[in-house]
Amino acid sequence: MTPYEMGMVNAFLIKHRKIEDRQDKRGLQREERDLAVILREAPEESIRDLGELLSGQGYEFVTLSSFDVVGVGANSRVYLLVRKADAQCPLLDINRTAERMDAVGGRGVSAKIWFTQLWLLHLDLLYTQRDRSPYERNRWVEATFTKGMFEQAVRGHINGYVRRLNPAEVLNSPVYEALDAEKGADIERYTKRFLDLMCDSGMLEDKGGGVYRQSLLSAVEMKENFDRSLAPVMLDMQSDSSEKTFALAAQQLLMQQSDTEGNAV
Amino acid sequence: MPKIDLLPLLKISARLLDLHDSKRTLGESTQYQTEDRRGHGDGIYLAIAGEVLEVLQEHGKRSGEEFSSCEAVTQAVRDRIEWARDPDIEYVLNVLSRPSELKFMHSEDGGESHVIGDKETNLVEKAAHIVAFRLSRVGRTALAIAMDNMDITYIEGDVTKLIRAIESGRLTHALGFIERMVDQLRYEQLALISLIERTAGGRRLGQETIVELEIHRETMRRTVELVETAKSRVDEIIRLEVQLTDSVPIGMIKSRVQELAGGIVRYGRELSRFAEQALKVSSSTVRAPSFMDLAKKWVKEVPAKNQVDTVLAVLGPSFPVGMIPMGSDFAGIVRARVEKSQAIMQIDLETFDQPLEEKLADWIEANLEKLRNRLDSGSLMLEQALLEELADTAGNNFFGCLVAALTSPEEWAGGDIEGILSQTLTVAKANEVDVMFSHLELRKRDDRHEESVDDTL
Repeated sequence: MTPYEMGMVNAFLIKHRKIEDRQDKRGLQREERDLAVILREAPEESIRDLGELLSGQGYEFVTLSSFDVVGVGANSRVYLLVRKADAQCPLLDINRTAERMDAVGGRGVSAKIWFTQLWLLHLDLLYTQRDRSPYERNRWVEATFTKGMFEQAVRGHINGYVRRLNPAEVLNSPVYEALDAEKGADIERYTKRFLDLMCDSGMLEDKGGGVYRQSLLSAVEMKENFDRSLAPVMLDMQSDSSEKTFALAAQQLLMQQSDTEGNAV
Repeated sequence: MPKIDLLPLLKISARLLDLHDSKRTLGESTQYQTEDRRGHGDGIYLAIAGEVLEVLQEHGKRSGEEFSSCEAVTQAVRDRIEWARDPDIEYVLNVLSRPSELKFMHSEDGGESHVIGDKETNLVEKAAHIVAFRLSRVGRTALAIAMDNMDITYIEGDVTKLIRAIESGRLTHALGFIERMVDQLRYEQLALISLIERTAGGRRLGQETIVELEIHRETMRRTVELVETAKSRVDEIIRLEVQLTDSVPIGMIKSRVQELAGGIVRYGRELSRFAEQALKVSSSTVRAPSFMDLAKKWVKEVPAKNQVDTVLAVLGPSFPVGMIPMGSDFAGIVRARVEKSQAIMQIDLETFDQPLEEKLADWIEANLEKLRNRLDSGSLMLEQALLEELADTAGNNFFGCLVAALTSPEEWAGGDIEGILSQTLTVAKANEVDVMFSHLELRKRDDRHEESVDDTL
């Protein structure tokens, strides 16, 4: 692989995060097909150099074959550019998410709140509802949901949970305010924007007919980065809930004890 | 003798027979018609059929494929199944020996396909004129398929078959064995990876899975040795230039055997990883994390901006910004490593002269302790160093190194050092040569000497 070819691979990967090398060329761009050949024929040393180059940009260069993950055909390979949890990627912009969620502008905070909530709910469909751990990369091929299911989950979350909260409990919560201000058409609008931007960024695949599937890239990043990003946040949540459980149990025991003592008196 | 398992055959046949008997005409609705399975549905006749076939197989083996009388078969089946009665067994024998015509599309040498019928479907053959039975050719094939265990545990047997095929020059068969094993390994490895990923989530697996683990690891260790044998057989054929008539080239077999070996090693490695992980897991009730609960929590307790940004930066969607570097940006920057190794290879050791900086560094490293000891004990003077042990240092550049070291103490001495240079000429012998130099002395800086040093230098 010449430096020029390495540069082309590098540029393509930063833009698309994935290069597929498979016999069935359907759905592949011409450039991707050419780069796949370059990568397939590159000596191990060049692949290592490319990996080091990308590592310096905050990525891990991952190669997966049919022996590593479901969904890769025999004699095929998938090259992925996976973000590293312990490094920043200066070539990536995450702020554009809010822009895409609210094209009119001026409501950046609200757009980001909507995005974050929808993102967690979509993960709930991909993982929690399937009793799938974030480390289960191999189950990505079955991780699908429909647009209708997603909208229903969002609607259920807002109407079944957010709007039933006591407003006094959530004073000064911009998240509550943003979701509670939903006017009926917001759910459909925001879910559409969310799904479009997730597909454009390679996190979801549009399978047609309103069906969406998690991408291999998303499953790999979740497996690699969950421990150092979401897990600590969720650990807090588990300890919170277990404390509440203990508190409830202790309260019940104390009440039983006082009842017994009362009866004895 | 392992038990014959007819169920996989039955499962395959059921759906294919449904299609064979389908009443749907071409172009009709894609809806599957409700299947009509009449009968008691109690599995009794299937159980008897399994035993009948097994009995006929045993009798055939003992008698050299001679027919067995109806009485002998019914007696043997009754010995195995207490509840089976003679008329029921005879009924099963009659059904199994009855041919039924199957129709399918056939094409000769890529020509136009046409429908043909095949009546050779009876599993049992009935003797002419007498009531006696034996397994038919189709029956024997069916039992061979039913008994062929596809479990990865028996991969050693498959590799042995591969070795025999290579030895006898049947490379087409060898390629078939390799393809099957690579496919099986791929499937098993992906199943194993799924198990590993489940345990990574903290779930405990069934005890039977863990018990089988060690058997699998042992099998893989032995299989690797067998594949090495297969590789050596291929190499032998290539080395001896054995003439083979098979259309499959030996080079292809060599590369596929290599791939197979890689697959087995990889599978073995995954097994070890799995074993390691399975031992750490203690709970079987771990549930997948609830992202919905996190969404609810973040409604009540608003997360910090950097907390959300950190999570989304590595897991959320992202888009490239600014100019994406192109190939020309890296021209001349990224160099292939081979070029570096070539440059090193071109060095001629006999004419190679060590650079001066390296000579000085080597000399300081060798004498560092002596130099520092002398500084710690008071001062280090050039004439004294030459006359005493430092003068004994062998080498052509020792005097130059000593002078260079004394004039650049910050490189090696550590701490604050002062130098005293006076024009008092001294003559000393170094390596049989008389050298003349001024007084040069180093000592650790002391505030009391500040003024005198300034005066001196």
